[in-house]
Amino acid sequence: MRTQYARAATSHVVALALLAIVAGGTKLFAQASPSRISVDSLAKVLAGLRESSDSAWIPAASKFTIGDSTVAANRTITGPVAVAGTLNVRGTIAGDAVSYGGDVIVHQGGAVRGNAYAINGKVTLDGGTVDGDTRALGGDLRQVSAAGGTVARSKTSAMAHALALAGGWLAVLVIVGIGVLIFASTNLDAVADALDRGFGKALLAGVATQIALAPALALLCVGLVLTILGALLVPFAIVAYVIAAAGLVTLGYLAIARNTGRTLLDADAPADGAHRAAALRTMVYGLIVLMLPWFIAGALSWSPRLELIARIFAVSLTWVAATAGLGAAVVSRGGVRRAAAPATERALNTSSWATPTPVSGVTAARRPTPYTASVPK
Amino acid sequence: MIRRASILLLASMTLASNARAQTWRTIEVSRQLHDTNAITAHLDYAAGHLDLKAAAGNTLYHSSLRYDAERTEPVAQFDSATRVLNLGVHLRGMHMSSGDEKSDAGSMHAELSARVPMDLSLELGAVEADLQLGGLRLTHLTVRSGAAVVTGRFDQPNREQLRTMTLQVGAAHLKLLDVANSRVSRIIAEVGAGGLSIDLGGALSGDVDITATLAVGGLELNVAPDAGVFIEERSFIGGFEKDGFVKKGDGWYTPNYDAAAKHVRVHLHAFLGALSLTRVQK
Repeated sequence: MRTQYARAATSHVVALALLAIVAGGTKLFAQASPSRISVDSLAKVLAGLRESSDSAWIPAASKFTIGDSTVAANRTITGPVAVAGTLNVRGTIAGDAVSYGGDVIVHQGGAVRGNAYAINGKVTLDGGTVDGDTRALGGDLRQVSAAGGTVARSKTSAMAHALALAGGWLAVLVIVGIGVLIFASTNLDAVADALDRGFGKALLAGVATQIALAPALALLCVGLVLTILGALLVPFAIVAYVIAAAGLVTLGYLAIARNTGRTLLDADAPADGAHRAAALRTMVYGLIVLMLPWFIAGALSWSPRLELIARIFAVSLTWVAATAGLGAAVVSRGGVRRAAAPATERALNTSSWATPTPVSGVTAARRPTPYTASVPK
Repeated sequence: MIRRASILLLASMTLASNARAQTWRTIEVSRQLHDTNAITAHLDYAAGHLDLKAAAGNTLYHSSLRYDAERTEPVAQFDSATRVLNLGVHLRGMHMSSGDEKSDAGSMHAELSARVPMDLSLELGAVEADLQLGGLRLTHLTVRSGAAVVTGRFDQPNREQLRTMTLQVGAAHLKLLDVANSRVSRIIAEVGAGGLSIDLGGALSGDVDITATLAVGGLELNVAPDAGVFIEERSFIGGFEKDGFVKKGDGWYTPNYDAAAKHVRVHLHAFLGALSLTRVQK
């Protein structure tokens, strides 16, 4: 049953990802041609454009008149004069001249005392003069970026972006996981064992580690500085420390993912990395489950309130997983130290005890006592 | 399962590669020339391809930009009171560069009036730039380049005395040709890890003083054989090849220095960088 759920979840994620790809490549909003401009559509387009700091010069839609317009010769009009169409200037505009979906043409004898702007058109000086700048904006005017650098996206684009981000993180984690399975599977096993033995303990250890990270780094730096010569190593130590901490968090998170996947698939732990495919399968399933809230949050980006709730849940889940994983990684010293019980079990399971004694002899050793978790009677 | 995971991974990576939406826009900005008073022009271009040349006709400036509005912001502003012109493109906040950065980095074609005396400064980021500086009326020129590949030319004589040319090169490669036509009298060159090439080809209008500070990068300098060269060196490991130079007092001179009508004096401060001098008539 759990496997079915996980498979369904996988299918949904794939479907959402493909949907996002299609949505990302589809032009959903066509630009209105000048002949079909309505006041509402103009207001909508201009409102979007005016959000962008590079388009702050664009007047409000209420300033525009629909259709071509001409400023007659020998006539002076106070600007801005804005038209959704072509603006012919034969007289004088005391201010800016703006066109949307058409050109601003300043004819012989015509003058614009301010600037001449054309949106989806061009500014032509046909013998006339413009005191200020001429500016013609064209191309893809659908999406605009808000002032301050934050990107204001359409809902579809925002959803695609959020899903893509989650998908990207999932891909990166799977790639890192494959690397860990190849090069550090024993460390991963040990961290996973530590989580198995006590999730709560690992979580507490993770919280304590997070609290201690900054002071420990400070102590390290002070210690290096005190050794005078070691002061030169401070920058390297900081980088190494950060990399080590990130490595522990990643190792722990992957161990959590693996345990989650194992629980989901109801699979036994692969012995000593002998079944890497099985280990990869459980890890991928676990990562999908752990990342699922992020995909859900991304898919809910059309509703800010639901998205916020989903994101809070996703952040909480990720924090708990990362913290417990970090704690387990610290408790197991990065997977170097394994607890006695599993180690003993593994020792009993291996065939090393069945090998004949070398001719040269070996130092006598006590055979480990099998570990039993049962309560003494 | 593995197949599904592979599909998912592929989809995720494809999606991630498409994650940065692009909104390509074009903008053309220009201004008619109303007077010929001097201006100060700043051209700041963060990423893409840049062409710059002298404007023909009655134009103070003209800029034609193709840019991604999602991550860049065009700048085109002339303050008629202070007579300061700002042109270019700024990056919006942080952005992760992709492998195909150069193929989709946008472009800018700028023209500046050949009739107005001008202090021109160029700030170039990850840019491929072709600067046709000949025919302008430059009084000061500053080029700061981070990771740019820049070629500048003075095919025609500068129509003003270029009092100072300041060249700051980070990890960029900056090549300036026919610099003698700029009528420059003083060059300040600062090279970090990049490369700077100055060809003093053309017609030298007078002596040229070059102050070069080289960290790791190199300076290639070409001076016509008929000009006398003096190099004062303060270097740590770097320096210059002294063959063909004679040491007198605190510096190194070419044998023709005293007899030459025009002189190039180089004050070299080199840490690891090196000065490479060639004497080719162009």
